[in-house]
Amino acid sequence: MTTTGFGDLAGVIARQQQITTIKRTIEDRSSETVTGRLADPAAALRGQLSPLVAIDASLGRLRGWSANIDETGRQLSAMQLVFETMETFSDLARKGLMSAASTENAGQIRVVVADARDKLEGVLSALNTRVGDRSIFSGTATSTSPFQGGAEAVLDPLRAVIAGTQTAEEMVAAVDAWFDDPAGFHATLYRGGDTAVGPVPVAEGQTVSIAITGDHQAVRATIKAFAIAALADQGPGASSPDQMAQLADHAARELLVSAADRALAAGTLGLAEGQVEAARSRNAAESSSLEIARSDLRNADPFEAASALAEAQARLEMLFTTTARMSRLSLTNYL
Amino acid sequence: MSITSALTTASSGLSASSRGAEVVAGNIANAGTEGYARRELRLGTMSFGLGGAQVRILGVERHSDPIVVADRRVASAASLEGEARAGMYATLEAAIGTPGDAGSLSARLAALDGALITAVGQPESLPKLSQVATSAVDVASLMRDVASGIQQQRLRADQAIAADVSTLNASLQQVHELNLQIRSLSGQNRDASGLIDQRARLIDDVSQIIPLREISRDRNEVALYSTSGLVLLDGQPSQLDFVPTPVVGAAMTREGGALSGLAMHDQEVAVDGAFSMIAGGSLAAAFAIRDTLGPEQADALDLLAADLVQRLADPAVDPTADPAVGGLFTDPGPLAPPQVDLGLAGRIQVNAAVDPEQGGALWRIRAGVGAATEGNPGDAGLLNRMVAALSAARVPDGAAADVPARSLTGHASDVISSVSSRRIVEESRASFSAARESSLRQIEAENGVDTDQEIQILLRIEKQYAANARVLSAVDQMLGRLMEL
Repeated sequence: MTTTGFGDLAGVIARQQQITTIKRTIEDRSSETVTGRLADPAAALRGQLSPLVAIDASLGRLRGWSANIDETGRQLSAMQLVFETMETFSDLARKGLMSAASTENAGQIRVVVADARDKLEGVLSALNTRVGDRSIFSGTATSTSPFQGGAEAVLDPLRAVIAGTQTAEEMVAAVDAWFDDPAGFHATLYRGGDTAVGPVPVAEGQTVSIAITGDHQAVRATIKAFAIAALADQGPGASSPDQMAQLADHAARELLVSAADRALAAGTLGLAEGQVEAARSRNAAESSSLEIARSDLRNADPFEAASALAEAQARLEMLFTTTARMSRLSLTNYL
Repeated sequence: MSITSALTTASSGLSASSRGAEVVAGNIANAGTEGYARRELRLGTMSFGLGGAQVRILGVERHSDPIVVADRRVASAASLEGEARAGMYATLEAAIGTPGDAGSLSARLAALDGALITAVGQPESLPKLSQVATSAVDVASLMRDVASGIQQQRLRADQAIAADVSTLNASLQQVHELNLQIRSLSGQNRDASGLIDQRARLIDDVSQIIPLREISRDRNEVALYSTSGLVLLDGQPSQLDFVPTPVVGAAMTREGGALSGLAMHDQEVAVDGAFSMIAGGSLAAAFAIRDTLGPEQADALDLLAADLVQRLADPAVDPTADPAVGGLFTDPGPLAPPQVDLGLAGRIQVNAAVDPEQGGALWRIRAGVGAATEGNPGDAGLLNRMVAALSAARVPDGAAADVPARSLTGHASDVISSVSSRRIVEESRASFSAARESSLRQIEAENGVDTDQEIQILLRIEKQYAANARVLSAVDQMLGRLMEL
């Protein structure tokens, strides 16, 4: 007589499998609840990880840009400060020179000339400002200070240039020529690089260049005006108080004219600062939206994970209860 | 005469009952033994002329469903094969890292890009340049780790093949010996179930290595063929030959002769492709990992490494770089563009000229790897070109025709995604086979020992024993009566 039974092992195997499945669910869901991350993000994305890689790459670039924004921003505001200093010095010097020139008093003029010399020193040292490792007015030659040797380095070669000039006009023309001649100011005095810094990338498709160096028209004109003022008591000015007054007056006018150049240069810097700030806020917005996109891709829904966990726990308890019941159901116990 | 025959008949009933109890005891004792097939006593009648019908024990029947067993073996082999393949991809995936996690390939490439961008902002800053060098070293070292991981997996596969082959040879020999014993017992009409159980377990082991078909021969002997038709045991066991290789490198292949194939009687056995003789088990998986899947991933990684080297060695990017040596990234050996160097990913390095740890100078990152002088410290031209070169869409030199033009990140993302998606496909195949295996195992177990049923049979046997004993005592009384006469 053959009857079909239900093998004892079948029940054991089935329950073992059920317990394993439930325990794995509990393991995965509880890790998701605790860490907030999906146990297998690749599976959730069906193996297509390119969105995550792209987000990684974008965030990497954004971090690079953000460092550039900080550095470039610092350099730009330091340069603005230098221009403010130059403006203040020019303003003061111009007023002194104008009033002294109008008195035609040689003694008084000599006082403002000496003062202009000091201010030239101040302007040059402001232009040598360093931010961190970088000389900010040296273009790409960032390790070199653009103007070395102080005011004497400017005035010394100029003394040779103006030697022999008879009138104030002649002297001014000679100084002008020296500043415009590539072999003059540019070769003898300016030690910085000829190329501007940049373009520095600050955002997707956006770069900032800092086009202003110590060789810029605004800087050159300012130094020239101060140099003429500082040399007013020499050359033709040494012999005639009239010429000296003329030179002082000319220097004052040059300072006034160069103010427009300085304003233009400061405006260029301000524009770059504006670009940098715009890039900063744009990057911040992009960065946070990328972070959100990334967590959408790989973070688990905590509510879903927690409810799945509770459900799995209930199922496991139920299974244990039925297992205990089933194992008591044996014919042997009733005999 | 008839009284004596009643005595014999009753005693045959008694012995049948005790034999039945023995079978039940065996079943109950083995109720928890996996692979134990339930036994049942088969009884028949033996009659002599007109009177008497003694119980005759026909034998012990072993209840096993050969179709379910064969299906379960195939499923179990497929599940093992899938697990091994998925395991290979999972290990590789772990080495590459999940994008978004610190230290993953994707994060390291992004860090290199970010460091270059920052260096553009401050080309004179040594800390910024050193960050470029460090992140470049990180990228190169991860590529080397992943590449050597692949070769490790191939080596492990080679060792697994050796282990499988030796298990296979030993098991086939044992099955053969059991075959002989079973034949002799069956010839004597004795119970060989225990040996058959043992043989079934051995065949289970063999079938995980190579899925096989079991063919019944006379007197309970079996012959074993792989499902693709390779003779493993038919009268005599076959001997498989394999020579393990102690070290596996990128350039070593079975085609090239550096790695051993599988041979039987000095004949090469096909181990892959459409005519594979061993398809479907752990042995096939190990051969696939060593000869196909591993090299495939190694090649993909080599191509990525070549792309990285080529982008920065382009004279339009770094005029001081020698294309045969490389730019920021190099190979210690000479590069061989336009081909992709075999095993480049395992050797890729940061150029010693820029790495202070190898005696180089950081400023060469800014000025060019072959530059003689520092140049302007604020000059970010090369750095800018490097940033652009990494994100430009290009096809690596030496790539197959179907490789699209992509940025470096794009190529990397293809490599990462292909590993993950393959892992997921293999895992789902493996879990399908595992589910199939367990449901077949379940069916097998359902046909196994049910203790309740055995106890019922035992109750019946008890009753029969008592009845037969009663008959005996009645006959005894009757004989006693006769004696008293």
